[in-house]
Amino acid sequence: MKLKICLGLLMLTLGGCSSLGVEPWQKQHFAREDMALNHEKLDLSLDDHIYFSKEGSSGGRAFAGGGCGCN
Amino acid sequence: MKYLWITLLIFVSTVSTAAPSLDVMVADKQGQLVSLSEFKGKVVYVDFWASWCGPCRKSFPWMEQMHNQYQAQGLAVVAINLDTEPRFAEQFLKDLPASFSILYNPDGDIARQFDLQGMPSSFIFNRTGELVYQHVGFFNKQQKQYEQQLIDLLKE
Repeated sequence: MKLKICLGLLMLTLGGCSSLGVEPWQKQHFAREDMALNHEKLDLSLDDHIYFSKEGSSGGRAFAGGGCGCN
Repeated sequence: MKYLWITLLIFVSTVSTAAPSLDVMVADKQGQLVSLSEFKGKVVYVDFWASWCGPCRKSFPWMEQMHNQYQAQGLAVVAINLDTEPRFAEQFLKDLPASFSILYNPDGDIARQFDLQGMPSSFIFNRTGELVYQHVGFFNKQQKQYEQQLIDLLKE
């Protein structure tokens, strides 16, 4: 009995796969400006500044700096 | 065993098996619901489009041509817009004027019922309202074939 209920519940979860993803008529939302990966320009430039300041001495990006973030 | 059947039933009902048919209500520009079954007795070409869809721009002049050419013989072209914002559709129609029926389904529930696989999608119903052909996308190379299908159905 319990097994059957468990089986039944398991089958119910399969129904969740029926509405996965974006439908063809919703694809306009991909083109929205706020969907772009580089939407937050200031945020990106700050991240970049921190990255090259901290990681500069460890190579791979440039040959700068002691990692103080002051340049 | 009974429980298993019940859960199976629920499972089947959640995976909707809606089929394209003319028995749907779609809003027109003023928001009035129009039933597609009003077009029964005609050959109905139902097209789903959106302003952001490239091939739709190619299909509109063709649909306009078909509409003008075969309207008298009983062709009804119905283009259902799926833009979430009507102003984009308006701009599109300014660029590509259409004299056939334009209906609006911003929620996309009709599109879901027709189980759209791509944009644009078209569904051709015969005079008795049965679905005969359906196409995903619009290809210039296949225009002749689309037209021939319409001509054949108009003769029935």
